[in-house]
Amino acid sequence: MEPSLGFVAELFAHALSYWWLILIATTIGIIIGAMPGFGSANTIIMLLPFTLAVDVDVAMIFMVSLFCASQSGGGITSILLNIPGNGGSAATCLDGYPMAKKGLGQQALVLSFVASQVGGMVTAGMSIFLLPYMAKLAYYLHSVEMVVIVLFGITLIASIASENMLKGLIAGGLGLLIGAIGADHIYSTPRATFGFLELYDGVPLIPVLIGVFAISEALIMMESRSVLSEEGLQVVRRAGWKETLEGIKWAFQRTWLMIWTAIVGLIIGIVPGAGASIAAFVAYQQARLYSKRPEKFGTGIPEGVIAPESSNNGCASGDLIPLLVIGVPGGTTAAVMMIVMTYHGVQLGPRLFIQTPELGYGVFVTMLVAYGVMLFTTLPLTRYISKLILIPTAVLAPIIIAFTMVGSFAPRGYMFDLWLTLLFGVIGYICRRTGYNVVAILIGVILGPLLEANVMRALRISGNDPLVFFSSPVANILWALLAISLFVPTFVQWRKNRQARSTPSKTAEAI
Amino acid sequence: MFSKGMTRRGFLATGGAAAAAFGAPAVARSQGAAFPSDNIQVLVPTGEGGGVDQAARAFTRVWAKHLGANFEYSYFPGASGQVGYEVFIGKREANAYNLLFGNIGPEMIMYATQNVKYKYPEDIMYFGAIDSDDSVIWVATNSKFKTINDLVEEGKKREITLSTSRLPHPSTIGALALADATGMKVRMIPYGGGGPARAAAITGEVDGCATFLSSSLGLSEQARFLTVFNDKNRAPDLTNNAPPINEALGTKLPTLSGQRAWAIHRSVAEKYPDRLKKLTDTMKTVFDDPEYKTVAEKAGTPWEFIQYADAAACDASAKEFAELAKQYKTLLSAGK
Amino acid sequence: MSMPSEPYEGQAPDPGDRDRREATGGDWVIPAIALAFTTYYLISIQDLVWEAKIAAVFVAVMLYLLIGIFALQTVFGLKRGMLRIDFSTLWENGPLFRIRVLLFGLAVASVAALPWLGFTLSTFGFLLAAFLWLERMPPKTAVITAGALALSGYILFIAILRTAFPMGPFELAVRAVTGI
Repeated sequence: MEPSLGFVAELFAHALSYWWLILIATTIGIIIGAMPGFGSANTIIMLLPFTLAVDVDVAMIFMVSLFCASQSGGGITSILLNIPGNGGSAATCLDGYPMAKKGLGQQALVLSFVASQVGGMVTAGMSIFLLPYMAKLAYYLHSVEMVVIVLFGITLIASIASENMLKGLIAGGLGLLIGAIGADHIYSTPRATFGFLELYDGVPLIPVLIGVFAISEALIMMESRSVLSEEGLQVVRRAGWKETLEGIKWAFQRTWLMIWTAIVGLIIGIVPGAGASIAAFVAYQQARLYSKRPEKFGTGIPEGVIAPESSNNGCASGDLIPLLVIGVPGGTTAAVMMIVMTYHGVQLGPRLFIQTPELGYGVFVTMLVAYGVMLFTTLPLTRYISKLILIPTAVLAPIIIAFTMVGSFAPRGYMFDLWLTLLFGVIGYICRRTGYNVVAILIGVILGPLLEANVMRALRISGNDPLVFFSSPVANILWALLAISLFVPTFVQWRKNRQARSTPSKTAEAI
Repeated sequence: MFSKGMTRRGFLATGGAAAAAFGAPAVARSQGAAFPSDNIQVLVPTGEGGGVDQAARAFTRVWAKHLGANFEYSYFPGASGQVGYEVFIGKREANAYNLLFGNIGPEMIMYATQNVKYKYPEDIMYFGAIDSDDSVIWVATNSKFKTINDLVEEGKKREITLSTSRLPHPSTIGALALADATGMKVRMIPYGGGGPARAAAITGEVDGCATFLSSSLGLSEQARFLTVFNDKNRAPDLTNNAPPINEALGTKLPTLSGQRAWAIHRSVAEKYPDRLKKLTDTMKTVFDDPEYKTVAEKAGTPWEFIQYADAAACDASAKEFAELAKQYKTLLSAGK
Repeated sequence: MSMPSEPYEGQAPDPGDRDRREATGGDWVIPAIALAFTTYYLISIQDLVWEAKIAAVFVAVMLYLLIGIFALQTVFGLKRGMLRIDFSTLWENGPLFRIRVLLFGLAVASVAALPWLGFTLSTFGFLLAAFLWLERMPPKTAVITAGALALSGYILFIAILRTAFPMGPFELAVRAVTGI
């Protein structure tokens, strides 16, 4: 069922003829992507009257472009303000924000956009030609395999907490337990909700995200007049087009990283129910593992921005594959797209590629074009957006609080979520002041429920046989990789230590 | 501190700017006007984009015309619908402008098996159902199970795994009742959503899927339907003519259908009987509107399943499910 | 610490200059919260079947262990004179802490007032107070800036994105005039 090149070219021309629509959709997408609490799913739902009224191919071009762009936009606030626009860009904060503080915000933004767009293009391109094989991945990645994949992300808690392992693990454990609030995954019985109905479905991610990142960051940043270091301030004031070009150069010096982390995202995205946040964390963890300078991760290096951003956009292609090939949406946005497609009478699943191949493949061709368009629209902007952090903190901090709180409220419309945000703001502040890693908490909150759901499901399917976790070849390979990823850095460090005997504390980080 | 006059001027300026920015015609909203004088707020106790959401939107697209009001949606998924119901009953005003659109079967099972803070029928009533969707069991096309009898036979030798969106669900009760009646062994695996549950059955993680029929129709040739939990297969063409369960196995299992229905605070019936009547009357007219057939089918519900049921019929069905759920409570809830 | 270039490490004025022992005290808050929450969690699930419990019990045991080790570490550190009790890491220094409390207090007040004032007015009030008291902006600039921001917020979040905030006097007034 591979399409001919001529056919793809035709689709390409068709998508290009809608460049103006793609331009509008990607602009909306980037804006909503950068706003915590707003995302492509809500936006597409709001725009249903439009997408249902126009032809299905136009609707798809619009929705797909908006969806890709929202993935790209999430990194903006992660980098400039240490506030992820969505779960998928939480990992971007790890290196993006330190870069911004050094005055390299503009380069970091460029890295994030280039990585997003190259990652998105690579995976969309791969999807076009390898779709039948990709779709088969869903047949091999079940609950058992997902358990190991999620564990890859969770081990990140240990590696980013390397400066104080004990505190990092306590923070991660607390995050896991906070993530376990709410309905259990088998019987849907609420647990540890303090009697709050608002917590029955689990602790809502966005208020936690905004609390521990935005609110606490706003409180912390008051200590000096600027977010930037003195040196960074000079750098940003002087910045012009040169920095944008420099960012592009840094990105393409790491082309291979962009490609393979995007593929990690693509594979994770194909599994229904796994999303961009896990893809980003796993990619970050893997990039760090295979890096020649893992100890620099977290200090503001380009690799730490590229990996999560490339991966969460790779995940966007992956999310759509189960929808198109099996007819089962892989995420919320895909579910909304499904409404539109079924409304227009499109038959999803294997028949889509026989009856209306132009739609099936058109989705990925549109992605290619949308990412291409975004390269031209986003890169020039970086010069101006990056100046945002020149605003004095006493002005910036209240603005951050006022506007991110909207994001906490918007998804569910509960006043409760605003109070929850403030509570997590205090927790985040105390964590930062006393050396507990807020990202470790967040990893626990995001990945904990995924891990529990998959573990419980795998156990239940097997009739509660713990050996089920080692019952499939794919899972066993993944276990082996996980073991390697845990032990190799320890070993490398051990050898380094023996040679240098200079950095004795680092061995712990690989646990 | 700055003077109060300054603030007031600030406010006036902002107000004026806003008015200028939106040159929209002023629409006076008179409180005494005929119902409905405002948009109707629909609360959906499941996720956006799900089957219930699609069915609701298809229905209100047409209903809006007949009622003369627009519908706005909000979604409160969680704990098998409990969150949505409790938000609706506890936090939405009982004024007939707030409606809930849910699925009687699964949500009454939830009501009977979970610790909920509201009471049926005292707090909420279903005033009209729009369709009736049958529970089914299907397997992937490449599965070795060709008929329901194959599945039952195998189930006597080993435990069969069936995916389901969530345990408190009519199809789960159907599968468990089937196991009771035939002596087969079944283990229900909840996936926390219809999509992942279907994917699990198609990709071979589980033996099959127990769910409502209409949400699985989109799978077309990837799924083989084994049986329908009803006396009659109402959509034989779409379901490879799968036999009704009792006909295939000689059992006496109850019909396990999900009725998607509009619900409202019970107190509205006393406080605003005229409003409820208006809602009910206009709702009935939707079924005769040819446009509804088109949009309902576009939303994925076969026309055979579209079936109006009045408040009394909904109530009977709700009570029946609550009873049934009590029988299986130990298997469906985490409480000891 | 997670983000190594965070202020916690480098830029914070170090009150420990006088004392070479590392401060402990402030860093008990998170373990204390974790301990309390873990215990509450375990109590809340005691009546459930094992499938709803096992994951949480596993994490809880791990947390108890970690906190236990942390406690031992602290006790030994204190005994050996490597640590000293000092809660000041929590507030850094007086003036800065007052600024933070003020900012956070304003945020709390604006959330508390939101159901009555609505989004636009509570945001305006919050920003205005923060600009005046924290940034010491001239009143006129503060009013204009806060007003413009609150109004843009209204247009973006309420008029365009339809966020369902409680309606306040401003939203109701606009609605009465324009029908939005």
